[in-house]
Amino acid sequence: MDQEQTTFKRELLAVLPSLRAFAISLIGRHDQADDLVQDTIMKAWAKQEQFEMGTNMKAWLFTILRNELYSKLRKRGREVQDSDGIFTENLAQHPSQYGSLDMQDFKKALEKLPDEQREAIILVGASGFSYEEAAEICGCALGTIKSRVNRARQRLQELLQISGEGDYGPDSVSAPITSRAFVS
Amino acid sequence: MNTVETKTNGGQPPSKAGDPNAQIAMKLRAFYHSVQDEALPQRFLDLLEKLDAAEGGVRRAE
Repeated sequence: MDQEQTTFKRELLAVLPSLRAFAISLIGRHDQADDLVQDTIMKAWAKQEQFEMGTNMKAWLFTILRNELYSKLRKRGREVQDSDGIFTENLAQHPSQYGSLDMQDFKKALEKLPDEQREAIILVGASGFSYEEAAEICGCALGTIKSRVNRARQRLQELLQISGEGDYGPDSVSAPITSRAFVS
Repeated sequence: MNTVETKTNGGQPPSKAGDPNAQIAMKLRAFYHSVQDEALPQRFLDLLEKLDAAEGGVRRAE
């Protein structure tokens, strides 16, 4: 029992850095993200009997955090008409949080994505989950996750004006395709 | 546990540097990992200690 408890705590600790990165990537603010992570830790701790040792602790924690976030947002939506919402643009408050200008541009672009596209591309592209795991975490179909990730990629390319041409010279194969996508 | 991190490459096969998707994937990972590499706030470690201690107390009382 005590042994199991220690293992649970150790595994939880091992996932925390990634869980926190997920929260910060979703929300864009360290303070609110850390509050969310704290709530998630407490929820997970209270529910630890439900967790089966040896199964995917990371996916389990990410699911709890995501549910916490959306239930918070729903509550918030009922209370205020989101003028200072969790997802509003907050970059100005952390001008030096991220070293390079490039990184700040990227963060800004990420914040402009619709919530469901942002979480999909983060889960698959950065947190290291498979499409299947991401679908499970988000409670949606595999095809839905795939199309969200694709749309997120396209949108980020538009926002960051990455076409493959600018930085690296025209690419005879992809340039005609990518530039067509931007003519809308 | 963290070995999954290297398993995917933005959900797509390795591609050349000029590929726009590869650039997006790279930036996304760079951003995410810059946050992941930050030191964990002490408040989380304190919280876990507290939860652990509280649990121990309950168990002893039972």
